Amino acid sequence: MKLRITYVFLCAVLLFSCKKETPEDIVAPLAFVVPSHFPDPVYNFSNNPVTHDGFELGRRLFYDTRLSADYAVSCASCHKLEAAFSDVGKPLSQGVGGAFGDRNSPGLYNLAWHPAFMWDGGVNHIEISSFAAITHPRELNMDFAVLLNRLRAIPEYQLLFEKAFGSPGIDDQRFFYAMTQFTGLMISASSKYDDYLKGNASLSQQEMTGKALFEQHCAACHAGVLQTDFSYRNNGLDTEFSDPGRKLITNNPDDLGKFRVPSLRNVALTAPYMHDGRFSNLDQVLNHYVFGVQNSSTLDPILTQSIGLNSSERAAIISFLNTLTDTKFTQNAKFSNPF
Amino acid sequence: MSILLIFVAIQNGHMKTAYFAFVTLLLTASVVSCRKNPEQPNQDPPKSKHIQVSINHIWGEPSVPLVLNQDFTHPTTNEGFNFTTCKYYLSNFQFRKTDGTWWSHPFSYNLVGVTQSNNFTFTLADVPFGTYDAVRFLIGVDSAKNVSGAQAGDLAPSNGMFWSWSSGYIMVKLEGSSPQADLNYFSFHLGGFRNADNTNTTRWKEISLSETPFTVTGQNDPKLKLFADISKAWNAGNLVSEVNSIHDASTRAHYMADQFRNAFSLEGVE
Repeated sequence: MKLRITYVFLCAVLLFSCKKETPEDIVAPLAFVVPSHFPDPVYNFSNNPVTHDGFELGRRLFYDTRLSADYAVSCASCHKLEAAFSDVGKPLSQGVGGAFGDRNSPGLYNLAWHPAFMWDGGVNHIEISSFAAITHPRELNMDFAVLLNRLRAIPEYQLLFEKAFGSPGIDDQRFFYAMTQFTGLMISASSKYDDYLKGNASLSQQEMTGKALFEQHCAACHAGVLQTDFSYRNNGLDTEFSDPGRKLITNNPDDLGKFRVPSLRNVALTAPYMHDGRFSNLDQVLNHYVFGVQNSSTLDPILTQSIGLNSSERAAIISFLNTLTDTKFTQNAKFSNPF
Repeated sequence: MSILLIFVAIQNGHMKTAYFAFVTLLLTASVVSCRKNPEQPNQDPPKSKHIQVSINHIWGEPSVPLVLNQDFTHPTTNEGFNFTTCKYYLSNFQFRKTDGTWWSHPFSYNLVGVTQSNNFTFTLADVPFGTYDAVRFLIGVDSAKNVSGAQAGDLAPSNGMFWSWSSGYIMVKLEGSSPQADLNYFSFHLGGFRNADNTNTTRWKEISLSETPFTVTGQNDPKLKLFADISKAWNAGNLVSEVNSIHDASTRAHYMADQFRNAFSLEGVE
């Protein structure tokens, strides 16, 4: 009888083995899921299906200091989970040899919705967004060909790449696909504000006041559920521009001093603020928009008239901004250091 | 075999044997059903062929082979050049048929340059049989591939021909030393692909083959041979003593891209 059951079981296994294994079978819990209140993403992983092994490989690469020239710096050195993947408290981050970067390390979340990357939008695709930081002389300072050879020599990575992509080999595309599986799944959509939008939470009176003021004065640029319209604007920080901003990419004088409008999701966690990290807290940011906007030829038209907000109104806006903090995201263990 | 066994087993009252034979039959059937139907062998004769394109890198007129780490004098400006890098992309190959229509290669991205030898050969796969009286190609990489994320092969960023700070392929990279240049070095990275920003430094080049028709058949081993006279990148309007470094898609880059286009001419066909 036992033998019979075994035999039937064998049969069943053989029959089922006809079914091809699909990515869904391997990683149901790690699929890229668009939050119900979000718009369609720019990047949908159609050419790079998310798998458990691909995500875990990307996670390892993200946290691995072997990605830097001096084995001292990883992506996570300047993109820390607890700060929504920004660099806690640092106006400018430090790369290999303690060198300071050019601009403030931005938070990383909802990247699959970004049409472009970096403060000036110079990087046009999520898959290659890590390339700039890895090769920048004052960030990870790695020649990418040297990096690939370094990874190829590490047995652990030989195995992980094979597991993630089904055959041996480490190359540019696989590296970037794995990295994107990790960074593209960094979705922040479960703040108190999200709960409010979905009808599952209510905001306090001060938060509601702040929300109304925010929508009146800030939401033209920090628009929609993603809290940015992804445009490039001069928000009146300076009259002279040591950093040309968007003009560096477009060569267009009209783009001088313009930078990407950042998402304000998790903004309470991503201090300091602005492309050069000049403001250390949200009070300073609000004060800038009320009292400090500098005129120049490329100043955004929206800011030519000052935003009148008294101190209690500013406090209300900040209390609203605090509802954008997503601790479910920043405490999600699947994004933590695997080493 | 199994069927026979079942039959014999039932006849002899060996039900257990019959059962196992039946299951074995099922098993065999399931294994066989897993197999894909064998592909029908392709009976059609081939209609296309891989062809070779060879680029003969030269310098000046009368020309000499261009090699790395050797001194050359520019034929018209008399400025000195010693190359450490000479790399560029040739993509989007198209061939004009005798009826005047163009056949476009579906995927031809080739990182070309001077390596150990001045001669660089690459393959264009599956060019249809026919006679062609012109070829054209893009110097650089088309905008679509500049905005499509991580690529492999010749388009992999680790080839050192991809800008990280402003995503996009470098169409041509020329580096080396010159006694006339500021600090004795030159470094030209021409790149950019957006017409909207006037940052497109890619250039189309068309070369007539009407004098020496290029025929691809089942019998021959076709080879398209081109000259690339790299000295054409410089002239009185682009002196290395005046500009020794371009790393953008500026007006200077546009001018040099126009000159670089003149480097290519027909050497011959085989």
